[in-house]
Amino acid sequence: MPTNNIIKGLILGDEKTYISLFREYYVPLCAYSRRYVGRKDVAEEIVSDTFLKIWENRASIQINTSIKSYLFQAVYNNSLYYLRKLKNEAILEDYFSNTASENIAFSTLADETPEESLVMDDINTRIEEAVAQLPDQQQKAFRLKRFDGRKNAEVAKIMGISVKTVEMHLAKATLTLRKNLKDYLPSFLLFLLLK
Amino acid sequence: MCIIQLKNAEMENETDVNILLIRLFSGEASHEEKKVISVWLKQSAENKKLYADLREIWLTSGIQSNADEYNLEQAIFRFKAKISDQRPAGIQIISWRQVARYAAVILLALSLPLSYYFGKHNSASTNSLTTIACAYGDKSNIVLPDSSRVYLNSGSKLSFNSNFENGRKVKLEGEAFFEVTKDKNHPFHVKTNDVEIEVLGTKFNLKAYAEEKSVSATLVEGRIKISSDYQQEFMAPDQRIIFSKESKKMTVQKVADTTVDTDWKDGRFVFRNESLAELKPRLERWFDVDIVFGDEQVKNRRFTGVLSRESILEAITYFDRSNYVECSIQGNKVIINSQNNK
Repeated sequence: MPTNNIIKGLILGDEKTYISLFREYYVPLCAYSRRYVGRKDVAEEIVSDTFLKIWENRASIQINTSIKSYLFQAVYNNSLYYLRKLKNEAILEDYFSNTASENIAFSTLADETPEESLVMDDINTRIEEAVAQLPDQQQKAFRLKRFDGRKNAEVAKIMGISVKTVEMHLAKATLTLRKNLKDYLPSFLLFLLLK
Repeated sequence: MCIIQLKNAEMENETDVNILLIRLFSGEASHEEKKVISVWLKQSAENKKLYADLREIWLTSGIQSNADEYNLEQAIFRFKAKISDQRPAGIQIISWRQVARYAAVILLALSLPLSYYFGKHNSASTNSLTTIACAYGDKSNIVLPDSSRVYLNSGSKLSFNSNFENGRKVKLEGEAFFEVTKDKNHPFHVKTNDVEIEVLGTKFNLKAYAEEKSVSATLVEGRIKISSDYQQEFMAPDQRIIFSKESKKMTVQKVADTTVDTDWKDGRFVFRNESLAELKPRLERWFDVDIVFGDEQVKNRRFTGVLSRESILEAITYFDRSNYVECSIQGNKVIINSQNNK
């Protein structure tokens, strides 16, 4: 769909346009929000809210960039807003509580914002290439975990090794990937999103 | 206890911290482990950088397969519900699709008692042949008279005598995953055009599509006997046997991960380093589309990925994103071109 039609669809409140944007961007937007807010459930809520806010304010939205950067900027703003609110409410400790088992990360207020100028050929290919260079066992564990979305215990079962060994392979794999992908870090996710 | 170990080592081993980070990223870190990480994070800017880098790699590498299982469908469902709440009631238009859907529900409700009646009538009187066919784009799950379970993949057909009077025998065209209930005295037989399988109680996958050049069986649990007109083999778990229709030979392979062959039954379409030419028949069955290649090179492009609930539209955006190929849709046809060819 050409950009103009998407913007028109957004403004007119066309359900199909919104759904197609959900399908294309929901998962990367969630990953993006999660690097700031830490929790998966919160990230999902922020992304859903962002879409809903756009729909509610559709009559007055103005998009001067690409739809993609518009969405990421909006999710970024909402994630920071959430963190500020969280700080004010002094419930940051919640991150370290037992109940929030979903934490992928502790929140870190980052100062970078999405920039249009960052353009990368194909970060997925970079990831695939870097992963392909890992030693066999590490590679297998990493693929099962991140490309197939397996639980640690499932990876252990499939590979016939202990969960501890799986975690060790994954730890070594991510360290090597860090070394081999250092040119794209720390804004790896941005490269992908702004492609 | 992890804390004690780490304190003793004074976190000098980088890998120990990294294992904790992996556990955190996987959502499996304990309360204590999280505390250890938060202390470690505060120790230096370097630690923070390492942490941010690894998190970045972790999050990004899982986007394409949605490894972290963000619930897209639920989010869409909620979004739809919320926006329809906010729409003034007068504007709501009932589409023909909705009408058709309700009509289908009513038809289904009407037809239930009838088919129930016929079904009962049938099985009571004769031992008739039942055939269950699964259209392209569909999958189904069948419980056989002996309570064995069969998952039937797209474009497959399973037939059997409705009450197994002449033994546990089924005929398969296409692909199915069998969970056969144990019965030592009554072996279970699966017949395909080229091979026959005999089991007592096992789990295995059998792929025997007429349009493919080989038949393959993968054993997950138990033992099976597989025979063709020329050869007979016994299989052990984690083995795959491939029967070539051309050479009429069977080859045994050891598989590290049988889920590669059985993932489809859980609705996952998994491909690992497969060329588009290899993927074509599977994609066609899975999505019920025809795939046409615009040029020769594009057939050799290799892909790795997992599709779960995606539509064909979403699936092609994944391929598009690789920057190697360009997909377009015309009716029921998906046309794939090399991107540099344009």
